[in-house]
Amino acid sequence: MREFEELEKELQTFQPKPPTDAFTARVADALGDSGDISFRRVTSTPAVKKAKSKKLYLFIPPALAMAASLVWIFYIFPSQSLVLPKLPHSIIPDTQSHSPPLASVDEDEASPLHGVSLQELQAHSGVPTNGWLDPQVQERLIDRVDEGLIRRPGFAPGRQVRYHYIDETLWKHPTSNTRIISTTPRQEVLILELDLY
Amino acid sequence: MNTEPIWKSWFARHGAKLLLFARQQARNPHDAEDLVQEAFVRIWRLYGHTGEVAPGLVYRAVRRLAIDWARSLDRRKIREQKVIADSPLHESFKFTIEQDERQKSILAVVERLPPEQKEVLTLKIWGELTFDEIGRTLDLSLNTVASRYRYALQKLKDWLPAELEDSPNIEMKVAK
Repeated sequence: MREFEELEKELQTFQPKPPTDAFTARVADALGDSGDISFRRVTSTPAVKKAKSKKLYLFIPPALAMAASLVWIFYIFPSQSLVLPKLPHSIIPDTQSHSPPLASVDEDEASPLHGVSLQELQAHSGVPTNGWLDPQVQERLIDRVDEGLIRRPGFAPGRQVRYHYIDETLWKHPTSNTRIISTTPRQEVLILELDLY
Repeated sequence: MNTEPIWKSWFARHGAKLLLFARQQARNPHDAEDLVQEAFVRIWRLYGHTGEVAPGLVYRAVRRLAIDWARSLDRRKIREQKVIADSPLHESFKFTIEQDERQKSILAVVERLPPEQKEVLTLKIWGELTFDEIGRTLDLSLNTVASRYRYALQKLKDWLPAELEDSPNIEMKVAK
């Protein structure tokens, strides 16, 4: 359709009028709670770049710590680490001169991550680990669709109704004024039995 | 850190195109707004939680609602015909003073196209949908959509010179 290319380009330059503010406000009213299901962050581009570089810095201290611990292990236990391939019998642990493990892991029972204490978790994630209120769970009915009569072998016919819900869980941390919202869509299908006359 | 509902940016991006399409389906600017509102709210309630909704879904909902409404609103036909005469297509577009006359003439020709060709042209040019998406929106085959689009452009090309001749100040760019 090359012969229409110029015409198409000219038509594309015509811009339809945008919706009026009044109309957009009307749509917002009609949407109600459904409009608040999903949000996006409004940030400027430099802020995003800064956040990326900040993330990179988070990985540098653990990497340095790991490198330092490896050097330390090789320095303290040179014989084991070097002789081990040549002397297979040294694999068998010596029960008489039992040495402590190379690195001990302090298990924090309250922490959800193995080997990471609550303090470490808080320091690395920037999210407080204590002081959260009980989560508020809310179920919101979004839509109800009557899908009409259905036949079921061996049963009376029924009317199938499909419900769309949004399950919303809200965690609040009043001290730091932090909120975490989780929204999950859910469907339920109900079959209402119909009496036969 | 500010947040805004995703539907607002979605609506800012697609609202104008939807209104233009609905305007052709409803033949009445007020009904067109009602159609877009109803269709958008229905679709957003179903799929809005995903954060992104395919525009084709809303176009399709607009069209189906328009068909339902047309069936139930036959009695308003005479009144709507009057509204068509009062609200030409070019009123649905932004325009500048320089483009005004030429744009009006071109859109007047678009308005004269058969409805089935006009809706395909609208969805392709201003809705920015692919032929495949248009086919699904209008329940048509890909070939039908492509041929209707081609016929529409051919008619525009044939009719434009005569339309533009009526406005002597307008450059005859398309006719060349």
